[in-house]
Amino acid sequence: MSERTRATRRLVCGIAAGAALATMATMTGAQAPSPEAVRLAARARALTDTAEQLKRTRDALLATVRDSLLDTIRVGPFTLAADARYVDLARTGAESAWARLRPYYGEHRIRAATANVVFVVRPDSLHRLLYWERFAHLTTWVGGRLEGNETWVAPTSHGAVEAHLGERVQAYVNAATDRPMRLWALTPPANADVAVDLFANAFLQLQTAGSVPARECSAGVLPQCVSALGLVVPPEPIDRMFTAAERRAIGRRLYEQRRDTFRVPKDAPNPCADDAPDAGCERYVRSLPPGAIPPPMATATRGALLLTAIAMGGEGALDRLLADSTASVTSRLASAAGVDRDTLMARWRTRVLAARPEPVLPSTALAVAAVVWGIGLAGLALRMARVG
Amino acid sequence: MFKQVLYTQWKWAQWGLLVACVVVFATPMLALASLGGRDVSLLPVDTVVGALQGAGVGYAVCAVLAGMWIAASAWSNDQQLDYVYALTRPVPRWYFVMLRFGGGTALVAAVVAACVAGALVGASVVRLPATLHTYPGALSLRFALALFVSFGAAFGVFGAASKSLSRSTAIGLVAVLGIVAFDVTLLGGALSSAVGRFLVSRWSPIGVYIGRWMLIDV
Repeated sequence: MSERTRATRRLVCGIAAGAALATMATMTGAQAPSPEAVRLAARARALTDTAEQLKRTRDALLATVRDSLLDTIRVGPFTLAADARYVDLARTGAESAWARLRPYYGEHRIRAATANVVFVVRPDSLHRLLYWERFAHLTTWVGGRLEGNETWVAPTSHGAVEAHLGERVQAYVNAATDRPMRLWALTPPANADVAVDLFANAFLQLQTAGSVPARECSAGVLPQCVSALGLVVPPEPIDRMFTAAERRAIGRRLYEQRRDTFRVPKDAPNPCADDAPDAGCERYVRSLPPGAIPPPMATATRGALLLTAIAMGGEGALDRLLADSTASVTSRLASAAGVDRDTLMARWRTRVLAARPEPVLPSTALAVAAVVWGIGLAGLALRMARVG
Repeated sequence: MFKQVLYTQWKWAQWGLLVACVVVFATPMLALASLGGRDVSLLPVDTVVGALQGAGVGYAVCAVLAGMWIAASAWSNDQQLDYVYALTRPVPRWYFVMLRFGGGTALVAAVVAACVAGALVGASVVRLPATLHTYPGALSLRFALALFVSFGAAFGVFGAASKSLSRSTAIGLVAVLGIVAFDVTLLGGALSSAVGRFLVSRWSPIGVYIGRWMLIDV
């Protein structure tokens, strides 16, 4: 090979090597990350880490929740699941509820109302946590893997647990009650405090109802109580229920109410105003649709009668009350109470009148005590001194 | 001397006293205004009774605050001056306390008079359903008793204010807390329940506040 050929070959090889190097350099330069890509990649990694961390935290919390739900309590038909620290509270509440509700509603009704229900006694914060977990995964967690038919009770007191159980049963009973009975009155809760308020309100209604039968009932004419309580079918005619003055008052009130509801012109005269003629007022009152005139005694008095009947009837009273939906409400109440209608009315009236609220006028004892306390406490000032 | 004591107490308490009188006098009218006017004969009975129950709470609060104000006013200047004025009077200490108490009671009577006037005006202008009645006298009596109790309690506390009393109060509080803790842990809360029952009874110092403060009732 000549010297010239060798030189040419070296040149070609050099050019090829240079071209290869140039190509490699170009390719390498094209794949170098931009600053923006680096920043996004770092952010993605951070987000992934955060998500992983949150998932671990959530799993740990849920594990804590599941592991901490230790005890399942069974009292009668009630099944409760409670944190260890609320076990006593839950058990006491359930036992009280069972003792109180069983004679009132009947065991089979309570069993039906609470079948397959787990009452979870836990604080609200855990409730919320599980709620969102369930929402996210459409699964249900209660103490390991219980079924999803649970209801949550805030563990504020055993009374709260007891009230919650009572409300559950009451709602079931009212939903299962036939329409005529439900329209007349709903079954009041089996709760002593509620009963006290109910009878106090019933007293107020009985004493203040502007109606002829209500006044006579209050005075002791028991058959009139039946009319006043809306137990007469068909209802008494309006003339027998209300005096002319009461009809005027009712007409005046209803007209003002309907003025807002039915867009009666504001300046239209009230047909039952004080100076309006009787004939026009009577015409207006009698033109009102059925049911527009409110019954003289409603919710509280009727609830009090129901409670009285059930209390008189004892065990099975509610069964007898709800047994025959075709019978009149009066006979059903009497059947529940196990006595005749007038005896039931008499007992109801006695209990309502006994619920009279404390009089406004302070008693002598109260006045004496107040004066003695006032003077006695003021006597502390006799210690007045610049001591210290 | 009583006249002078009364005059000074009036001077110290006058603004708060006037506010209390105006509020107490106006309470029935405010309650009626909340019901839409003085004619409440068209309203359901429970609405009327409910509004008046709200006003009753206002009366009770007024009684507490007015009583405390009158008592505090009676003693605040003496406390600031370390009871020098009281000790320089040519009368025994108990007599001076009685004068202050008498002066405060006279101011209490002024607020009660405002309550009576307001209740009477309210009762005379309201138009009620036939089944409701007004009780201005009973309400005023309850207000007077409650005001007297709160005045007496505050008078005793402010009048006896001293380091020794503070010490006694602190010891008393610690003792009460100890008894409550003992009761809850060992007696199952029986003692606390008994105390609670006493407090809501008519014989307790707060018995007069618990009850029906009703200008209008069945």
